[in-house]
Amino acid sequence: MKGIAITTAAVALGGGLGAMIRSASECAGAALGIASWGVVLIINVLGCVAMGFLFFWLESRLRRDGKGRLQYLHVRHALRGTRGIFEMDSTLPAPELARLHRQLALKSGFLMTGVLGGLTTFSTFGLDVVKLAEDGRTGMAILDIVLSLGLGIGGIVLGLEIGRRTSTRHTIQS
Amino acid sequence: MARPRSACFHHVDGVDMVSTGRQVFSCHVGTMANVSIFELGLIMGGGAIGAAARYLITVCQSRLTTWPGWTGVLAANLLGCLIIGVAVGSGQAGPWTHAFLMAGLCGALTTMSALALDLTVLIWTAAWRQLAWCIGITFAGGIPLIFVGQVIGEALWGAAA
Repeated sequence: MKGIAITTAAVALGGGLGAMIRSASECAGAALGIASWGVVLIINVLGCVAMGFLFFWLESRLRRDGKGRLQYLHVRHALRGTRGIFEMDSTLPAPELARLHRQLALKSGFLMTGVLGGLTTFSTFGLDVVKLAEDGRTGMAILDIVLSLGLGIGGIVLGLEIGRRTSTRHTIQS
Repeated sequence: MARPRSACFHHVDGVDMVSTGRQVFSCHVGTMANVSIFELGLIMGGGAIGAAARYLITVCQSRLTTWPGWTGVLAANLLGCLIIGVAVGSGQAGPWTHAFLMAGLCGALTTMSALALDLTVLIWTAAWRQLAWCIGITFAGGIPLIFVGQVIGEALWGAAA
């Protein structure tokens, strides 16, 4: 329970920062004359790229318990150079494994669940879609949905690839 | 003046603003200088509560149910859509509704990045049926829930606003 409480506090702190950055970005986008749905789309896609990168970066450095999601991916061959780093490391003593697990929970809680979770949003995106539909711009609303979904997944893949390329040297050396 | 559907009125800097629930605070003039510290505080506070609630929802989902991991984020997204719909439908003006509830709490309770990460993992693990359910419920459930929330908000607070 103590671990969950600490992680929740880290998530809350990150969520507050993420929400503030998103709102500031919306203001900056409005000042530049970008449509509100476009600003949210850009924020969400950039957040997805960062999420993919951080996911790989944190998992490759701190995951040693063999329970990460990356090891189940069908594209493991694409993770060459870092392969095996996510698997159970039986050479590490239990206290070290526990320490790494706590670090992973705290850092991913603050950065991924908190900052990036608070930065990107589904409700505001949904409200934009509703607004576009109510304004009779149904095509634009559908485009917003398709772009958010496609570019969001593409952003994650891009972020993972950036993470893989920047992590390879670190992993080989470790 | 007839109030358009899903519109909120608020009074900022001596000007009656009509927004569609997306102009969350006084940055309509295009400068951050008009966003007060109070509004930033509300956004941060709402964002902190929203993100913490999303995390706790996913913890409860993983510990109390045997459902797939993506259902935690799905539940948070659907709940956030309902709440933001109620907020818009209520027609309530002011920073507590726009900054705290909509931009802060609902914005951070819901997430696109974790959803996209879940979808990517489902694609890479070839879990096509789960992928279809995740996309279907998220989009075909979340967006209509905003409409439902608007109706609830109008019914509960719309007449008073």
